[in-house]
Amino acid sequence: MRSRMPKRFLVALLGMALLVPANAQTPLRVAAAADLEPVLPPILDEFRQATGIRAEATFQASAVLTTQIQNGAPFDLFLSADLGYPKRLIDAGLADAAGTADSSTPIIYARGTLVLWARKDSHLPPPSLDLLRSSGLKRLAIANPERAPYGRAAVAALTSLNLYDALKPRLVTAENISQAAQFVDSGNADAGLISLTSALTPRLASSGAYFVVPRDLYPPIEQGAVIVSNTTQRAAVHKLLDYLLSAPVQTQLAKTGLTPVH
Amino acid sequence: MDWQAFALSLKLATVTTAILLAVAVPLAALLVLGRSRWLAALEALAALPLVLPPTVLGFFLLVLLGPRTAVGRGITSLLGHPLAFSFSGLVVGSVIYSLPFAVQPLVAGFAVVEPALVDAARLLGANPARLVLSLLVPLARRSLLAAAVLSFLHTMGEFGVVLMLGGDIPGATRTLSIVLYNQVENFDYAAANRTAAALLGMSVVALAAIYLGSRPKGGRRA
Amino acid sequence: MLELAIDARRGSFHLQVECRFASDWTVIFGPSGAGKTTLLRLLAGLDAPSRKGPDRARIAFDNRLLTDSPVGLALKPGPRPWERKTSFVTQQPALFPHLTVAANVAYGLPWLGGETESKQAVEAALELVGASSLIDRRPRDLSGGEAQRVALARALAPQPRLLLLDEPFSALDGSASDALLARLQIWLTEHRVQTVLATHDATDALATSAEVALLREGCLAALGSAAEVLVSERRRLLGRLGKG
Repeated sequence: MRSRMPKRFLVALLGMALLVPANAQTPLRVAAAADLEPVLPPILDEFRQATGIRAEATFQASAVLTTQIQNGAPFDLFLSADLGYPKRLIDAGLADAAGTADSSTPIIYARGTLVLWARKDSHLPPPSLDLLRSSGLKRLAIANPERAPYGRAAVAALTSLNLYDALKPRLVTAENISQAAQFVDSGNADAGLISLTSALTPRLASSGAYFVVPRDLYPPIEQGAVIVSNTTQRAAVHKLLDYLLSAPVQTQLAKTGLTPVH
Repeated sequence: MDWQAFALSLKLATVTTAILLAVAVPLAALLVLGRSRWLAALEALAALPLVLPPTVLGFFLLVLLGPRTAVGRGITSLLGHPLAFSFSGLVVGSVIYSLPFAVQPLVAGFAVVEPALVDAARLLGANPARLVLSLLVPLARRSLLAAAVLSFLHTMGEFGVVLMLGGDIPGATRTLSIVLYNQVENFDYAAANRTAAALLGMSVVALAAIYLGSRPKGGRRA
Repeated sequence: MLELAIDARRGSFHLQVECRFASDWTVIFGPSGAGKTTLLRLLAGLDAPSRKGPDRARIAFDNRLLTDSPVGLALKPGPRPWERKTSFVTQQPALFPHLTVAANVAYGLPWLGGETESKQAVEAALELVGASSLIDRRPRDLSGGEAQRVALARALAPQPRLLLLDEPFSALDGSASDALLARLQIWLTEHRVQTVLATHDATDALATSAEVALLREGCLAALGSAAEVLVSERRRLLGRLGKG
């Protein structure tokens, strides 16, 4: 079969691809958990202004990023949504926390908060623990508990409340937190157990209301960072890590729904 | 091996393929035989699912079929339950998602039927339905087969739409490809290998059976 | 009686014909490119003048309007009473390749007709065109001439009121063509089927005691008995030779 696209057009396309300027400084490549998507970009911008080091983030589920790093993805720093995945990489010898007190333990850079979120126009009562016991709750969205840290926390919280078995048939499992939020925001699920970072995004903050699930109901959602051992920019990575853990940035994190570690 | 998911995937692919053929045959015939300029827009529309990333398509469907749109409310009052997170919801999603894979081969197949034959059938009084069933379909039967096979396989391997629209409910929306994805994501590579082997093996068997059944005696070009 | 007033453009070609075919058997005679096929397609209803644009066509058969472009009337072809009961045999036989000869000939018969009647109609039509022995064959096993005979049988089986033939015997040799034409003419007269035959072969025109319409570059140059029209055509050609 003959292509209808004129050859000249293809040549022009190829030319344009080659003309894209090559960069002098290779930017830091950050593999970041999906819950950081509303949080991280402004921090990376400020980091560049402060230090002149450019950093670019790829947002994905922590599990996906882990698989990619295991298979040689060229990242410099991995900001996970939990401790399990970064630990797995350390154990495999692919990542480390060199330069810290314990180089075989991921660096905790923030703690996550689980919230129960529902749309403001829901026919059910506003989010609270009572909502979880309401018979009107037909569909409760959670993130996949097998790998999403917030999904695990959601199941743990429901179990602590002795509600897990009763609610199990009504659970709809999303791939990650933002998809769980979409299930609820689109009106297909009545409520969802999601991250505070998601609930504080402008979109969800305007359409819904949230209730902070008491912290004693689930083990802490500790978010860990590791340095990908293959990095060629170790010094720059450390600068970024220090920046993330600095007091002003940690305060900034708190506003977006992540609890500071100090 | 998750036999429930296996059976669910088979059922979804079969139901979707049947519906798709029933929809795509008249649609493709309309696109080939019709003269209205609006048909170009319709053809473009029918190809659109190819452009959207499956999860995005799934997201749009989730919103469209949800209780916040008139369409979604209409369907809910008609069925008594919302389409999202149900098997029928997956069928709707799959039909839309795989539509181009049914329509494109049929359009290609119908378009090469000689216009003189179509004229002859019209002169002899064939109405559009008869034109399609007695002439276009038998003459383009390999395209029909291709449409069926592609729809079936595309639905078997469908992931993004199911992920978005399904909610991973065992027995209702947890298909084999979701199971496979979960196994890979959970680093359970041994189970993933088995599931993938089952998916591939079954597809090869199904395809071979279809091609064998459709193969004319004495070779394909007889 | 067939009345037509047609003014249609197809690219640079302009067909302008206004006349009345009163005879049961009309031969449209003209060189290739004169517009014979375009005219027949319009008569058959396969082409319709576009509603926008300068095209216009008015075609009436036995005082019934088939096409009337100003009001958007364009009856579809087909054998049933609400359609134009017109059959059209094109130069290419266009037999349905996946059906047997019998099924091809039966294609235009009404669905509700009984099976025996349908079978009889098929056999009668094939016998008329001298193709009875081909009944169980497939189109791909037929010669060009045989295929043309079957296509003719398929057109006759539904008993049209108007029969349009576009060089239908081009693959038959002269004597076979003459014999078939003679047999056909008797049958058509008996069944009161008005026929319009397009040809570029003067012998076809002369073989039948027909009314001849001479078509040249999209215009009707002459209409009358074969003797008149063809004699004047002969005179014109001789005149051109003389000048040259």
